[in-house]
Amino acid sequence: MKIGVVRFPGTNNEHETIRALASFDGVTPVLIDVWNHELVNQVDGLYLPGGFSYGDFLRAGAIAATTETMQLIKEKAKEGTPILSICNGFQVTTESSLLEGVLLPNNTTRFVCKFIHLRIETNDSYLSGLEGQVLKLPIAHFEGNLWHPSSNELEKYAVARYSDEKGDVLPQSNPNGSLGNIAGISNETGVIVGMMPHPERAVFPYQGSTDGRLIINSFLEAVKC
Amino acid sequence: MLTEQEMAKIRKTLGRDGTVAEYAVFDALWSEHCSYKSSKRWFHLFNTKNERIALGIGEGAGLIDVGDGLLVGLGLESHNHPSAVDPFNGAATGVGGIVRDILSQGCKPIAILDCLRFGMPTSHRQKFLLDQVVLGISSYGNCIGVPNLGGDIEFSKEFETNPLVNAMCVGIVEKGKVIRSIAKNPGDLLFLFGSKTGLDGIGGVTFASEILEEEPNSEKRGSVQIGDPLTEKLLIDAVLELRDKQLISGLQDLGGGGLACAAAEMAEKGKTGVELDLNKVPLKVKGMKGWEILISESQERMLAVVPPEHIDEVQSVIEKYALANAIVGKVTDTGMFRAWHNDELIADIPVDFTVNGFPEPERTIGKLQTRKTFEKHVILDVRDVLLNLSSNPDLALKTGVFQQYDQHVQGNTIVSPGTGATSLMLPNGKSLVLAAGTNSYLVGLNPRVGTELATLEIVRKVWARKGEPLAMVDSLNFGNPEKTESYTEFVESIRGLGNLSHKLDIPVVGGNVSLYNETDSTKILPSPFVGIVGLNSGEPYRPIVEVGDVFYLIGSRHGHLYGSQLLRYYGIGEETPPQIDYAEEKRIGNFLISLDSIKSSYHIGRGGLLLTLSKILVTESVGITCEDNIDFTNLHFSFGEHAPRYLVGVSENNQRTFEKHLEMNNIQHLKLGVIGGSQIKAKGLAIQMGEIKERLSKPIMEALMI
Repeated sequence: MKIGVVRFPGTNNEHETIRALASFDGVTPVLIDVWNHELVNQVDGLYLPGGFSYGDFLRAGAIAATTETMQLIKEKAKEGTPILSICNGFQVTTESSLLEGVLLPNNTTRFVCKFIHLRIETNDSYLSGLEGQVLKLPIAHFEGNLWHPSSNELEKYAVARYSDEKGDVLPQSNPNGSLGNIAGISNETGVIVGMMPHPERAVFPYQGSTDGRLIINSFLEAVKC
Repeated sequence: MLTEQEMAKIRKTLGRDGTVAEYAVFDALWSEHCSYKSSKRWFHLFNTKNERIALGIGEGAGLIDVGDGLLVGLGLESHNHPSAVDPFNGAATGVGGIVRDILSQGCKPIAILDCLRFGMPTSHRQKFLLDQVVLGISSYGNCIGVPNLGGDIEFSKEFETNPLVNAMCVGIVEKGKVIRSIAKNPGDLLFLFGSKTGLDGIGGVTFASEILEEEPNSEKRGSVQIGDPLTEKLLIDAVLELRDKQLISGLQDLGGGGLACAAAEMAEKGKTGVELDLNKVPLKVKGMKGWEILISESQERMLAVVPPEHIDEVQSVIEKYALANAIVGKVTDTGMFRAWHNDELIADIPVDFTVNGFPEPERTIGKLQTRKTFEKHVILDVRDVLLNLSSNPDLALKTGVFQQYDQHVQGNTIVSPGTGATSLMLPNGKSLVLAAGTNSYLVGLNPRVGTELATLEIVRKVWARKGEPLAMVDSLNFGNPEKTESYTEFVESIRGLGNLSHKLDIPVVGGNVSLYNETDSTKILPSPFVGIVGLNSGEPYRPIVEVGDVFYLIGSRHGHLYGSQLLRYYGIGEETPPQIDYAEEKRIGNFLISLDSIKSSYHIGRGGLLLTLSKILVTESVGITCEDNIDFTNLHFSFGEHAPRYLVGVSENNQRTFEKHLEMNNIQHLKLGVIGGSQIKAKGLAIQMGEIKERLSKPIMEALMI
């Protein structure tokens, strides 16, 4: 199974993403750059990793969203190719309107990097198999404050919320001000999932958590189908 | 500024007056920053070699062999003066500069550490400096995708006008793919790539080698470079591709002294000459003068030496990353540094003279006065001392700072910044242990022994995390070397560091000197920052603290109060520094490395046992119930520092085996207590962790206004 890892100029999580994917049986990660983006048509699933695409100029993800590469990815999305978009990748997918909402600067006005807990919600996406589980994952972002003019609209697509380690969703477990503590959402059909936390940085025991494997595994299962 | 003596030597050697461009080049290359003219004469005191060192002092990165065909590259550099004037850009470009330094040897950057000094973070100005420096490091480092793995931060009034911003970078490269900063083949092309060249950072190194005025002067802002981390990230990707395809024969970043310095230094190493056509250099602004192009310190630029047969392929790689680039000259066999601008030869000077010809300035060494501020036999309440010291910004938790840095990017991080050394995974399955910093207060008391004790503490941090110390880089931050006292402090400190590097066989593989951190009325506390890298060849080690764990004090029962925080804030302690027993330090260090059944281990640092223990417990959100024989009222026991002392946690069922192992190895130990509850509970002392946490968190949170 080939998974495309999309690197825009300034994307910088491609290495750990490739290493994480390669640790799953039968997965071949394929690095896709803007200069060879036709590779998008040769892969079975797409992983949009984090970083600072185009230096976050204008707005995080805004420039990447206007690229031809993203046009190709949108075509693939229409065909139902599963996509997992993380951090800056998530920002690119909201800016491209593949996912609802926008990611505002954190309400702390600071970049935040730490381990957080995440409760997987009842949802219709490829993460539905993890419902109710509490996962420990790292975050690292400046614009992760998920917002939407209609909170109902966003609630419909919520796949994960920031919580404490027991899974209680509390104001103090919200690291960035996201509406309803929502950390990740899916699209209508559930084949595109975007989130701020980094599953690809929690796959090997030395990293302090291997909970990211569960999310990546669910994504890969969706690709297999 | 060139001195009269230097001007005279230039005229005499050239047999004529220099041109404007030539003087600009000499001014840059003979600055303290580039030439080490006051400091080089002392470097022979350092241990610089052993069988692991693949490349020592002299280029962008020192290289250390960690086995399996892998080398680790290290660099550490100051960016103090720019950060005083423009803290955001100064700190950001400090990170950018050190990353390009190690990139020059083909190293992929895998970690950044930084050592920072400010005045007390209570005034608006100092809070502003702290906030902006942290933002600068965070915005640049996070964007280029290199994890920040610690360093140290201290505050003292001596840094009010001269804050210190030093950045360290660690990288890796395969043995066969090392690139050298050398131009050895006449006929090779000089290929400049990265950002365009502009008017930012003109005269940066000269500025860095001057004393700052009392009031930071905005007119100096033209000397401060502006960073563009997106370009740096692309530059990293591009250089690594050039490296893997083995297309270039030399590479150096354009740092202090810009194009002139990079070209002249590479020619000097290769015993060749260079010819530059400045009209080829891609510019940000029209109409730059030739000398400005030569010494501009615009960021994110590198100069590659390329065999003509590879130039097309090199260019196509660079174009792919959309980086500005041009062939700006060639390597010659003339031994001359020549630069052309608008068909005019504006510089025509011997390479060797340009790099090494500076007259060694005379510097005087005197005798330092012993500093005494002691009061003895004062009765203190342990609880009060613990809470008071916890409220000090030096000892406080720096979580608010480290959370602003991406600590996990690249996915190799094992231990994040917090309590002690950090560590990260290498591709060969081994792991690196990293620590950097110094103890400015202690070095200020006694530059020679203070440097040894402060550096030893960094080594202990590495040992505690199972790292075998391999090598170090230093960045020596001192006052004006033209003044006897400052220069003496500098020399004494080098003597101390030199001694340690021999005694522990930890070679110095690179470094930087930042002098002139002095205004008319104050000079900084001497700050010889040291970054040490250790190797853990066993399983990756990640300390874990859980309820029920048993904590032990390992090594010396008591610490020393000389140079301790207790001395600093209460005036209590010995008048003379402790004797260092390097053999014993090493024995205990090696013992720690060999332990495989422990759950956690920490060196006992600033504030002694009680502060170290408090910080661990607060970080892990647990308490401890101590054994009946633990008596915290003994100040040497609770607050003593500068001794081989460690805290080790083992699981309950492992106690016996662990104690036996300690006894067999003749290691002193004391069972402290069992982890659990929400307070430190001992005979005569009961204190809620919440109370300590509030004190430990407050200083930095308030300073950052968050």
